[in-house]
Amino acid sequence: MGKDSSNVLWLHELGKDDPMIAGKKCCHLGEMLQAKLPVPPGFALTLKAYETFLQGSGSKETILRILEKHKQELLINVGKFEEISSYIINDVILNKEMPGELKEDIALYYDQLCNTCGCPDTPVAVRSSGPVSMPGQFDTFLNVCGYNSLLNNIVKVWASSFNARAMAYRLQRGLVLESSPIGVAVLKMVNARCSGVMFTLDPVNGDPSRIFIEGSWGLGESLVSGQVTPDKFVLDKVTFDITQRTICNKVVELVRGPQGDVIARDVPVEKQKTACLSDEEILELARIGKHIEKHYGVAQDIEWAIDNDLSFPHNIIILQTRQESIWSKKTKAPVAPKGSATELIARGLMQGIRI
Amino acid sequence: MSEKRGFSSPHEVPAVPGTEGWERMYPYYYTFTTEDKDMEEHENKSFWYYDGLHYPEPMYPFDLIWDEAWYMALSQNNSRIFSIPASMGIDHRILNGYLYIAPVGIEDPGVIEQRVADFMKRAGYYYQNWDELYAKWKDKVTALIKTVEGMEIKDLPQLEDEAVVFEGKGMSSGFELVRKYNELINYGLEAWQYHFEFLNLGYAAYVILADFCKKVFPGMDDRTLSKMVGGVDVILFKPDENLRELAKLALKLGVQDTIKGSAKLDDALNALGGSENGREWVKAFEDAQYPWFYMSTGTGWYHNHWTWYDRMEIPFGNIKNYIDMLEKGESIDRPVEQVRATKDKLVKEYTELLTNEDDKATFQQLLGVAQTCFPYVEDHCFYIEHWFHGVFWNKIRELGQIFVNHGFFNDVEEIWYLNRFELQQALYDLVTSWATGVKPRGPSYWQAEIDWRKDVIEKFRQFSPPPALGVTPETVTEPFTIMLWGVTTSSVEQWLDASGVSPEDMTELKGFPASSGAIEGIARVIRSPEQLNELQDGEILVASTTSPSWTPVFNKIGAAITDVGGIMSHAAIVCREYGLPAVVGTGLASTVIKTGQKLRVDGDKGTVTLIK
Repeated sequence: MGKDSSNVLWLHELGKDDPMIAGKKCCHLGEMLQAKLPVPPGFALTLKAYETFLQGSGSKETILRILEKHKQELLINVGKFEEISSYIINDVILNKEMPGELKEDIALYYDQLCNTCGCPDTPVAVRSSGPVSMPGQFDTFLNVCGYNSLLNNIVKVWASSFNARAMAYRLQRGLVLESSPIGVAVLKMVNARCSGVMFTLDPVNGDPSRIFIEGSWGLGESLVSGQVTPDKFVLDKVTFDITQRTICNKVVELVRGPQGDVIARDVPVEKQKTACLSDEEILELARIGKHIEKHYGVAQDIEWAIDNDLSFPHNIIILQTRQESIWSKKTKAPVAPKGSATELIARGLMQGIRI
Repeated sequence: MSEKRGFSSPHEVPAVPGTEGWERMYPYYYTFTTEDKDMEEHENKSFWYYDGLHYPEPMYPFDLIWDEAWYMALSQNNSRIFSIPASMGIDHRILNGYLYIAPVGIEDPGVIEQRVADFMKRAGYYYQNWDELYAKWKDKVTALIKTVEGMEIKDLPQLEDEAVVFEGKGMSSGFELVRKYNELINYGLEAWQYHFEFLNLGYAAYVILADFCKKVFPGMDDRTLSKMVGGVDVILFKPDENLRELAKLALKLGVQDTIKGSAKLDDALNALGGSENGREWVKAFEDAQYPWFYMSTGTGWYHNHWTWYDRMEIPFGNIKNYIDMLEKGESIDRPVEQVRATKDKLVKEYTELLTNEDDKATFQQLLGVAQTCFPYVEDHCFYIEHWFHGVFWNKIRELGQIFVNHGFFNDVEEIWYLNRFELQQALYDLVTSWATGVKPRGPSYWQAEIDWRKDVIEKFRQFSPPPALGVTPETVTEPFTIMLWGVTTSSVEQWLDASGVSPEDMTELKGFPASSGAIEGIARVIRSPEQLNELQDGEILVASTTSPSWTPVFNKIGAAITDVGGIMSHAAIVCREYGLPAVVGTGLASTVIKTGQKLRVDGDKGTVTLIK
């Protein structure tokens, strides 16, 4: 079977030209694996799998009918999305059985992943992977353990393409409302001592000479959802000098609960004001960040974690990377019009230096 | 700044008790005035900051000569020679013995526009022909110094030599002495004309490059930029390099024990004279001296900043240190290759970070011109402040001896308590008395005055000059003000904030991160080069400013903190070279910090924490 017709693929089978096969995140992960970057092992459910499910479960038809009926109303009343969305997700999608061929494919890949990791019911992250970048629109589920839970959570990710925000977005842009195929990445769950984000520029001012790292104890979700003020480290991208270091009071961390769910836990007092990364780890992370940016040829927004079970430098895991979404997409106007050195200096001296 | 905040008016700072009348020690135009109302208004509207970078000590009347020299020389190169678009000169005043300066801007956009055309033509000529003009500069400055070296300052004869008569000379030694004094002063002023021939343009190039970098790389630190621009073979390191070579030669010739075993240089030279190898080393030692031993032990700005020639035990002690290090197997070579490789890597990678082609072209243009200018920026002070001044101070001492011979002074070193104009008068008093045979007025007139002035200068030392006076401007267009003194928003804000807090209550000072690293240690506040020997191993040097020529103490100290200085102050450059944490431009460190205070110095953040 070719890539186009598969429901499930190993991540390393995907490359950067495949966003229409399994979504951007999956092909980024594939590309990273090919570039020998430390991402967790895992597999991808393709856009075709999404279609297979919606078609095979009969959901597609129902959704189409509901939306036809309410389309005019939705156009004038945005509030209506909440109600329709909730109905589609809960009453149409989530109570449907997954088609058999899909279940078999997933079972095959998950078993093999568990073997690779040497752990039955290996905890995995189930992440959405849209073919175009829509950060935060779709759901992601962490610490999913066991086959049945995996199936449920995959369906939940698919269902999130019908959340109110995503549908309103599609309607506003004149996109197809009744279907928005997204891929799903199933990744070995990192046993995160700490985690965070890294930008290969300064997100505050776009400075391309900086690498910017934020991190806090435990899993990364606390950072994204703003529950904790993270530690912040800024490095010079050329010299790797750590030019800024802000250690914050990190009172809460997200960890895996006894049932594999995510729970918030108080951070022990002695760890609260301790840096969550060693200098060695900061430098290695930055080195990896610079390497990733060079590989993609554009500034990156990277999610990372430090795995408790592994030793340096293998403990550094890159969870995901994507093009930095603000500065790297701006066409930068030149700071000053070109000129001879003397012209440039004359102009500068005319303006003076603000103090 | 939404609201202009100001410092104390320069007219409201009271005199130090017991020094009333101090103004007469200096030329009249150095005094802040309330008698001339227009001038008073100008002074009140200007932004005056204390130039502790050059003048950590109160001004001796004679030493003011260099300030007078650059008062004119720096200003004219901005205003009248190169037509720096928005900047005239830098105005000078003295308050309670301390030197304050204020940049004078041009605000009329029409005038600025007019000045640009001349700037382009004139500065353009220098930027384009820099290396050639700089080679000429070295020749003329070296010739000037050699002229001064060759001047003979002789006491007056009882009766003129017969040659005056038989050769029909027609003039006396008295007149010659007066003329020589005037010549000497003029040579000094001339040297400072040359000092600024290139400097304004060199700083302008650097300041505009730094400003561009702040826009495209807001997080880039000044140290990185200076590494990209700075030279690798800097003349200022040459004297010290000679000493390292001498240490190596001593080991090669097997004379190291003779050198180490001698307490004094003269003992060593005597002992070495007894062997073939010893004589070879002595020959090399002599060859290594000129002109490099004109290296000052200070900045060269004060008469008491002795050169190595004046204090031969200093280079001798350094040679012994280097021999020790070599015997322990340590490397004493500067990592020149590494410095060069770092510089190349920084330039290459930073250029690649710019994705906009116009920005890349601008960066390369500005970096190129800054690199061209930098050898001058780094090297000129050896020629002028070290070599020329070193020669000059001793010529003045020779004159001082003549005054001692004629009963004007008790000691040669009293000459510094007269300013250059007063000295001209005193000399005329001396030669007319010699000519007439009547006793001079000077001895009775000057001795009381000198005693009073000594007391006043000592009282000035107890005064802590405020970092700034007057009103802060919104922009600074004067290149030196930004680069050399580090006058920026943050430094001015810090000075303003601190002006309401008493020194005892301060727990943290901010300055420029001048050199990486963090360290805790005990402070030693140094107010003059003579105090340097008080420093103990590992102590943190706190000074109004430091000098690159304090080389011996850099081996000892844990970190350096200064009140005044920007990214290119001598202190910052040398601390980076020696890998010491340094925070410069704190404004107040030497006032707030007391010797013995425990400190934490963070050379990356630019902070100094006082640990209670």
